[in-house]
Amino acid sequence: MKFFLTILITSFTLLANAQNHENAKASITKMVLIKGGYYKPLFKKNGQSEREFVNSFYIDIHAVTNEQFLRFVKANPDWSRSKVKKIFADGSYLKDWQSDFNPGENVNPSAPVTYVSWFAAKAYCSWAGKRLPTMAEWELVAMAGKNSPGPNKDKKFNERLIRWYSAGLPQRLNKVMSGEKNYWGAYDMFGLIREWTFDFNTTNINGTAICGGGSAGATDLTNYPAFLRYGFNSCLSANSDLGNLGFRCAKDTK
Amino acid sequence: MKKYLLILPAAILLTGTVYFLAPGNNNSRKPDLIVKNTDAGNEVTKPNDDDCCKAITITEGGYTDMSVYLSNGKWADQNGNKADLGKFKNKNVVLAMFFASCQSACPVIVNDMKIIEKTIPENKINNYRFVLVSIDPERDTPRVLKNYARDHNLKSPNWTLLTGSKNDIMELAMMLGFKYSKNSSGGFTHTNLISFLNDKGEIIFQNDGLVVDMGSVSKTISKLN
Amino acid sequence: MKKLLNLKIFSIIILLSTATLISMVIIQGCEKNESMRGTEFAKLTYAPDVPSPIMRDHPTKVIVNLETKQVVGRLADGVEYPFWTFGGKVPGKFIRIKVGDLVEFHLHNSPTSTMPHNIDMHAVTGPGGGAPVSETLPGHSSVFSFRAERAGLFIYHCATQPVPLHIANGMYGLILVEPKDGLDPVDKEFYVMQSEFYTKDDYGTPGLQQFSMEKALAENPTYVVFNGSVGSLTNSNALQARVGDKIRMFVGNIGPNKISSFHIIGEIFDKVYDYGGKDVTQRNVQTVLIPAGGAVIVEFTVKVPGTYLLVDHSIFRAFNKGAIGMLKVSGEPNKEIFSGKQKDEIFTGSQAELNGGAIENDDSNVIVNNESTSEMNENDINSVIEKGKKVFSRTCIACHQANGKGLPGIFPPLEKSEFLNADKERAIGIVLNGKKGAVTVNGQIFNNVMPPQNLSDGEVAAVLTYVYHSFDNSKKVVKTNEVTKIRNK
Repeated sequence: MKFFLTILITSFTLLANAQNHENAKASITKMVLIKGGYYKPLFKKNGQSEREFVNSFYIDIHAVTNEQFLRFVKANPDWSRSKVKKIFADGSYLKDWQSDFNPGENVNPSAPVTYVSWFAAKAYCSWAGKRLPTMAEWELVAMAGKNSPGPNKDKKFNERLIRWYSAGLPQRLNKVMSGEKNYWGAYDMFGLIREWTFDFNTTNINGTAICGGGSAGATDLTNYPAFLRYGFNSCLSANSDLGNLGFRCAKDTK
Repeated sequence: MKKYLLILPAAILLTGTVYFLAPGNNNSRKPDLIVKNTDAGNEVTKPNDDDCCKAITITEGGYTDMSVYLSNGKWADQNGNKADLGKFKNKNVVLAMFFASCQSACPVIVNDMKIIEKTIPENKINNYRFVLVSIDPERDTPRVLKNYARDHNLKSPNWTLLTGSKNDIMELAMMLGFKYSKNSSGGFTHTNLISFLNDKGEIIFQNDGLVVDMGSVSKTISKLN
Repeated sequence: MKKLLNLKIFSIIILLSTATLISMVIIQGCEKNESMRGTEFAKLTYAPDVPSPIMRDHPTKVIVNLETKQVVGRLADGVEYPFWTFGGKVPGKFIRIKVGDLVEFHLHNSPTSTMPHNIDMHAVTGPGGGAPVSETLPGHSSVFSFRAERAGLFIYHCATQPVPLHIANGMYGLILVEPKDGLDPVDKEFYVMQSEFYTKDDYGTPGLQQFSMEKALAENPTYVVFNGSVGSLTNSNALQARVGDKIRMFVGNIGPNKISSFHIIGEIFDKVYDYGGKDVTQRNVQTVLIPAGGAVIVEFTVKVPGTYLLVDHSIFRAFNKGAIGMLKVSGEPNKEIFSGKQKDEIFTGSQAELNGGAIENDDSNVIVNNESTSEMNENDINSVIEKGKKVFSRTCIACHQANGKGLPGIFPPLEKSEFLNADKERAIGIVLNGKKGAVTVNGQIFNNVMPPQNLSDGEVAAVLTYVYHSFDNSKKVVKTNEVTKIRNK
């Protein structure tokens, strides 16, 4: 009898762990190592040279999906739509989900989660044992081409970016990794969604308010996609929730 | 002759009276004209005032939906003690973010806060707490903060200086709308902001920049307990 | 004595009351116009329509609602472009207010937008024209207020980073601030906005186009259009008016790069408010300049029916890039002002040309200068041919061409001409007297008019000899006396 009970309890525990492990595994996106390098911010920071060095780090190969975010919400019900505090997310939080714990038919579970605020993104990454990438880190990954770490000087690349930025919000987002993989092995840095960064609000702190105009101090006046990106970031508040804005996580190397 | 002298002004008087009494020419105001936009594609909305005064849910701990104390950050004060922003619940808080080695702007901010401190009436001063949160956790250890408080004559318990983790600092900054970024020289570029929190931790007024808008500050102080 | 005193007092009272009355009237008159009262929702219109003139005589609070939206739309037949718009169309809606109005502006950004937008109105006197305070994220709205301090016609456009791209993709429109006493009444008002589009593919390439940074930087537009697309004001979309209509056009040019030379073919602008300002600055003008980011108001009265073309007179833009529109005017013709075509006549070149420029007037009765043949030696066939060639080059070449092949269907050839070779006397007669009616030359029928040639006998002989010795003909020789004989017949 004792023996039987022991077996039962042991197997239950193992199963439970395995389940947790499965859950945890599914929540944890595969990451790739980004080797440290220089990137050129659109707006030079005070007292800084035109190029900024970024240390090596790991980044998720794709954005966090609806499915993954659902696991997070289930484990942390305070982040469900009806419970989330107004200071952490505005009225559009998880707007496209059917209910608190059900994304519903209109949303592809493998598509990136959007209508999430910076606070929510940060909370998710902490829960997954990671963190949000800084703007510098994100730009370093994004500037890579298909076959080199970049900077991608291909004029056609800029044109394609403008084309993507020009389009309106699609009815349904594509699933992650349906786009291109770049040199580092990271997917969808462009063409799918915009992504939160840890310090998105630090573009040009003391310069002209670029949420609304102003290009003084820009390092490349023809890089319109960068202007669009930086301009977008400058207008965001940490609790903004938008349909084309999601996130992926990063991790230190040590 | 005199008779004729009277006729002219009398005539003017008569004309004037007729003019006044005639319809449409009197002093009464026309009714306000409100024309509704009938264009189908145009969303017509009333001016939005629902950002104010909406019913807020009170959570455990007595914090409202908009309380900064929801942030759960783990801080240490200038005496090396663990601190939680929630300890300021029930007090009115005047808060700014800074760093100790800041030479130019932060001393002005601290001074501004001292000026504000002086304007608070005697009988209310105990309800106030002045909080400085460092954005430079690497260099601004509790010891450094203690020295800073001493050098600038910032006495406990009225004044609290805090240091914390990078994550918590950024989260607080995001809640306040404060922007900062590290320079290559180790210093920081940052905005200048003094925030007023009520006894529930809600931001009720913010002074943007280095110059204090004393009018608005006085109004805010009069609204607080 | 008492009576006199009473009269004096009475008259003083009357005078005082009159004075008071008069001053009250004056004050009231001023006040009536200056005080702001009431609230209105602005009626906005899509181009080419203009909201009706403002009838009130006092400033008011005006609430304006405008939505920014990203919309794929028609740029030309079969050509689509991903527009960024105010109100879902390019150009944005026309806003009409009065000087002194307090405008409460609500800018909404559609939840389907993928970036923030704002508005800079050139009618606003304040930082950024309102842009920094109207920056709006998708699914949000911004509200700000301004007082219209100056009357005039002003551009508005989005000023979000990068500003040139937001403008180039279609985010612009016009706002009219009427002066205190309004504008003079007219029969028709129209809203026209010129703008450029820069696409990777060439003009007319079908499909969804994309913005070309290269062309925009080089200031080389693919499309230059009125009201957001090719053909927006042509054929069935043409502006309509009647003979006698006094017309006012509010014309804007946003660029983003080019200056416009606005002209209406067949009309003259009676009044021009240069730069969209408050005053009439010119009268009777054919073409006005509209700077990029500027506007103009023009007024004219149409007196003759027909189709009038609106163009940017940098004319390749009108014909090859789309900068053309139509104003169709219907009604009774006015032959005195414009008769229409009265006659169609043949013209084969001026007489001065035929006479080698020796005679300056065009009088065909003038005797030809004989110098060219005076040195001709009839016995030397080569000198005759040489002289004849000279005559041919002045006279016959215009129609029969240097190679003698003529113009198919119009002027008969002289080359291998059976008609010519068959009858020398007939040929002489034709050169002297001309020819009307149908002739068959080398199997082709020609039915045109050849005028009589104003040549001397010697010249006729020489030129015919030259023709017979050229173009594969029968090498006949024509003598001067032969010509004289036929001339005297």
